[in-house]
Amino acid sequence: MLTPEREKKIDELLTRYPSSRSALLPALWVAQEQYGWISLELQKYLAIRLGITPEQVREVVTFYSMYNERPVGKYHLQVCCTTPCMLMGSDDVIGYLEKKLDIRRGQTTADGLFTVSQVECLGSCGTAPMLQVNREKYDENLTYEKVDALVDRLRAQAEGGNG
Amino acid sequence: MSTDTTTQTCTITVDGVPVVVPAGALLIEALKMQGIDIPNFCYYHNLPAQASCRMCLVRIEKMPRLQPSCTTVVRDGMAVEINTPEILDMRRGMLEFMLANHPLDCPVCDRGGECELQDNAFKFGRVDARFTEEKHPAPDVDISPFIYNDAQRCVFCYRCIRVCDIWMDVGALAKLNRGAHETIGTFDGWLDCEHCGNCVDVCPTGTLLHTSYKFGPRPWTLDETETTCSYCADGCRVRLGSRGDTVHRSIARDGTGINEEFLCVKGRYGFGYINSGERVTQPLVRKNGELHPATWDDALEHVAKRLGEVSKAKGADAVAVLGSTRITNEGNFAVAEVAKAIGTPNISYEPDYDLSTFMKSVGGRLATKADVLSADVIFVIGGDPKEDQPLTAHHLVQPVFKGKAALYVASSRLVRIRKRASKFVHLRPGGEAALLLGLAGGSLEVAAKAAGCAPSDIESLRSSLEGGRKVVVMVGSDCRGAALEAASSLGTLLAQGDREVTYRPLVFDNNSIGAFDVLGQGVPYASITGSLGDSISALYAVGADLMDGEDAEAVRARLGRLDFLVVQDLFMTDAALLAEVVLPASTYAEQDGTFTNIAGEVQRVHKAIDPVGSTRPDWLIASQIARLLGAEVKYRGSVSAVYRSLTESNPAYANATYVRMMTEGAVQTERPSASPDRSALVSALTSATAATDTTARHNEVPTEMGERLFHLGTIGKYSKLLADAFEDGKAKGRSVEEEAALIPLKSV
Repeated sequence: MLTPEREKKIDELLTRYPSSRSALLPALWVAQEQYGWISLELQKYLAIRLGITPEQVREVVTFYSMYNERPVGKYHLQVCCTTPCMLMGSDDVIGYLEKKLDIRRGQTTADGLFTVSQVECLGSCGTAPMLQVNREKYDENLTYEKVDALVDRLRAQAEGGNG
Repeated sequence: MSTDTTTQTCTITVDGVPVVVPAGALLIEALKMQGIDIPNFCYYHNLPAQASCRMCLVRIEKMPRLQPSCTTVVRDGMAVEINTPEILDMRRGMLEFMLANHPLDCPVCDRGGECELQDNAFKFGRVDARFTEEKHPAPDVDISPFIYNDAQRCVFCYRCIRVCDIWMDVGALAKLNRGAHETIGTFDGWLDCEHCGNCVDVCPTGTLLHTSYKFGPRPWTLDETETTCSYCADGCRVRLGSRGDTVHRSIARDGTGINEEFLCVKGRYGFGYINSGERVTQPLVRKNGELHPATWDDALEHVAKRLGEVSKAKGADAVAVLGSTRITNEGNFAVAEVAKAIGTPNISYEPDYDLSTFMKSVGGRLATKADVLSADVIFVIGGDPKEDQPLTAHHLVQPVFKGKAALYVASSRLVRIRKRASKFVHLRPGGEAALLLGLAGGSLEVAAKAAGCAPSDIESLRSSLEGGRKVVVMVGSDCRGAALEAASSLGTLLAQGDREVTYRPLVFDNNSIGAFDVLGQGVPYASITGSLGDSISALYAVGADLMDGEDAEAVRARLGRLDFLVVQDLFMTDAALLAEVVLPASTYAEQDGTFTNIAGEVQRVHKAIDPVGSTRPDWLIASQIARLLGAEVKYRGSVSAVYRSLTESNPAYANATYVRMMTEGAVQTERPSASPDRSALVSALTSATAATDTTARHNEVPTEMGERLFHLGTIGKYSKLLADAFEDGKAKGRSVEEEAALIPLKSV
């Protein structure tokens, strides 16, 4: 299910820990890198690969918001909603995004460009409220204007074909 | 319990009152021994500590914060407060959190009335709720044909998950998502597991529940009867919940028997046959070629008359009587009385295991639960308790998990129990005798070649077995002839040493050992079935699956040639359709009696409901026939008198009285151990080894979860829930690939 290079990477990960279960988190990254999300099929494959139960894999995948159990859009907008961000208005930010993109959190726009997710603390409480696009740098001290600008920029980027 | 090895005590004070408790005990357990119950959810007496529910917190002097009593070990002089305003306030607070997202649906919840959350909320909780947050409602969903999940009711004690991991060694339940969105679930929404349902019975709330009991009668309206399961030889104690004439559930939630709370899929969900609409409920007598309902008096008189006629015309030897490994000891004893009354030696039953060979050579006691739990070496040869004896499998992995015992498995099949073995020796088919010859000190090269393994395998296995002080040998049905004899006296074959060896024959049927004890194997079953229609002209068959084998058609032809056939059974079996008289028997749930389990322990069967229709217990029917045949039957109408006659005629049962069973539960029969001749065993093994087909290839097909566990016998087939689940594949086990990946095979 994985490319030969990624299989090799997992082999290498398995040598790194005394118990194969410990390699689960990085192995999931490797798998998600290839597909953008981790299907149940892929989870079962990794379970057999690591010698653990599929249930143990799914527990981890569903625990962390960084692993996607469904395909995500080209731009995954992950809005932090943990306490400091919430106090600073993350509910408004994510609500604004939902309205603007006409989707609910966890959903992807019809054109496949955007997914909005509610995630736990991203460690940037001093600049709350904030969000992260994919695995790139943070967009901080968010306002409605900044969100508009961000979405416009990402749309332009996608149209320009260099996203 | 962590105190089983110590007799030392220490003194603690509980709310100022000094009490003496076992040293080293967990505080919650020490208090329980004093009759003080500390409320809890995640603590469970035979599961590893979790300490997540915080319900059992107590104040311990000099400790800065409240401490969980489920992980605190008692110390001499410890001063504990359990009933102060502070503690009561804490409990109120904990319950308030737990109920924050809990639906207020006790009136429609199947757990209502036997719910730990409900009980604790009632005892310690607030009357009102202060949380104004919205709840996360979630519909209940079926996660298997047997279990449904009402996720919103969960308090996250993880008992279900630990039970699935540790009792069952399956790990099919998962905690999904995080924080307020967490739920108990499965990998893909559907359970692929052994379907034991133990997760349901340990649940302290109404989260996991039995589909078979959905919106069933309220638990307090049920009559609960503790009895012994009718499926496998492990002999679990079950609690049948009945109302009127109907059995509604079979659980072991307050388990006090050898299985404690453990049950398997059949024991828990296979009770449907009791109230199956397909039961034979009245006596049938053939007139003009067709079976017609008859009164008991007419039917019994007809049977006695016809048996007498055949016996008179063709000699007593022309009559054969068959008992069963399924019916009670009392039933078989009364069946034997019929044979005695006729004067025929032709009495037998269909054995599921060669117990005559096993019992002839068994070199020690039969291993009880206590022997298995305290063993340091367990050796399983030629059997798979994971599939055939689920309680045995559950018991034997517990000391292995705790690192107290090492498990060694030798089998010609890739049995599931090998998963937890320190060493698995994969034999070629029929290689058991050769392996045992090697263990007995025979030439390693010769033994290994015939057994199909490496000489070093045998050598290391031998030294491991000889290193044990308390060894349990479990002898599966793959061992035959010399191998069975040798395996059942393995202690005499190993180098002499200071060790106690106990044995367990891996028999299958619920009363396999009892049938052997009561009926013996004087006349082999095959010689009776082989003479039907020839030297045998009349047959009285009780609970016998005459036509379950591959030779069904040949048996049908033979039955057709009989002068008289009377079948006593629960259902219209193929043989019953051919009978002249069909006598409807009661199930175990409708009668009193005893079963003898895999450890040779006698356990009571208690009547839960009145006999269905006009059925009667086997012992009553058989003793009425015996009386009509002129036998002097002393035990008119009393099952305990039948049992007393049994104990008088069989010294092994002399001490296993109903009274002892009432107080002790399972009482082991006392049977003399054989003193097998070592050199005779070795020479038998040598010739068996020489006769082994060394070209036979290893069986490389792994045993699939449920391969035999989900296999339905007669009674299983008539249990609708089981039949629906397994016959069309709605319920499956974990796949072979997944299981195989998990197996840490150290050596093959």
